[in-house]
Amino acid sequence: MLRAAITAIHHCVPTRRLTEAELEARFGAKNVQSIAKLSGIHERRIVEPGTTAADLGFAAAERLLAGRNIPRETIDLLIVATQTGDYQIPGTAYVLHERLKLSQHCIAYDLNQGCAAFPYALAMAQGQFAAGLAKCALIINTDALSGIIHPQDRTLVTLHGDGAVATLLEVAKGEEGLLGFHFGTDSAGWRYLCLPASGARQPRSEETRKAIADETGNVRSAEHFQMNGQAIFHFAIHKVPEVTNEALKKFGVTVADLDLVVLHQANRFMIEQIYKKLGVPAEKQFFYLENVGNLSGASSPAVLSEAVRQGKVKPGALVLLAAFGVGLSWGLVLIRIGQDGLAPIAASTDYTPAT
Amino acid sequence: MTRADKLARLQDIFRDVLDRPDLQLTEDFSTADCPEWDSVATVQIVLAAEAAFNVRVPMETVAHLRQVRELLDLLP
Repeated sequence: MLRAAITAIHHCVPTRRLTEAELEARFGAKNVQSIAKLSGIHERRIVEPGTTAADLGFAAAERLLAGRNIPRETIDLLIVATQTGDYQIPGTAYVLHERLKLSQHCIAYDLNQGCAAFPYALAMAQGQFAAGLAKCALIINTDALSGIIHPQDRTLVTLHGDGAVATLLEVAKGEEGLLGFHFGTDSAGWRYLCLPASGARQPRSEETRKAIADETGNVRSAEHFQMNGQAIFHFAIHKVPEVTNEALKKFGVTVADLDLVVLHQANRFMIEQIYKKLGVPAEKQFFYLENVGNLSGASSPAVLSEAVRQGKVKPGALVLLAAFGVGLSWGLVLIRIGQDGLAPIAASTDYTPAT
Repeated sequence: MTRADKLARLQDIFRDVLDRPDLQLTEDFSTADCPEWDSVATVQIVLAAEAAFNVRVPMETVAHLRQVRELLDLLP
């Protein structure tokens, strides 16, 4: 039975920087500094009007394929994981399949998942390798939440950035590859991360367009992404260490066996608390949010990609990746890097329309 | 532990998190009384209360927590 292995990864973020100074002018210095102190986020990268998550995903994938000289016809599976696609119908996978000039033999579909998307997409790909349906997969995790967040919603504006990651999966050789998965769902919390007027249940109308300020001054309409930050924070602080310990037990490994523990970059305080609860030492931690923000579905693969760029992922490394969010859902994957290592793609990580 | 004892322990937590050393906490005290009691402070208060009272506050309660009484009612 074939197993998949990550053989290349590259990420891309917009060049527009949403700075602390801009946000202080919008929300007041005290508010912004208070959030930044906890979140560890001091700058966010957001798309310019007209640029979409698909554009970011295209740039990341194009650079990855060019950087590794991958013939387009060898890609037989394309999974695009996004919650901010170009259209409700069709999936963004079809838009990008055309733009990337992939072959008609390539399976392509979207995965509607939020911050936990990366392990879910990896599991889908692994299943298709195991079923003999794919041997060379391209996964694109991309989100541009800045377009669906109300500019006066400080709980979200201050945290989120936009970004995309392209990951290449090929048939594993030897011990490398995707070694195990662990998933779960607590649907009692789905309302706490929600874009209400975004589908059939609540069609858009004059009413849904009305912006309303809550008691703390945050403004949003039913057509904007909404988060109950305190519920999500509480969920993550408790649930992620719990399910990570379950996963470690299931995989038969301990933190001591791991070389790197990658977490979804929701905010720095939360990540530090989770690392602390799990007993992950500093040398096995990695942060990538201070200058880009929480990249939503692209966050956890972007951490891995940036760690690769910084030479933190050695050949043969054992990596545990945990991501969590919308649903509420969580996903964990145990990854063994190949003995050849994961060489970074030489291209820039800054988005430009011409790749 | 009496309800008054629990309130006294919560008062220490609220004073620390909200950075208001003179705060006289009452069951009616709410987010409307204190601009510093925002969502970030709520999480810090809940985590501290969970540790102090060895209890897990349900996510639903955390999501809508606005008043001291709502937290006090859950403490053992």
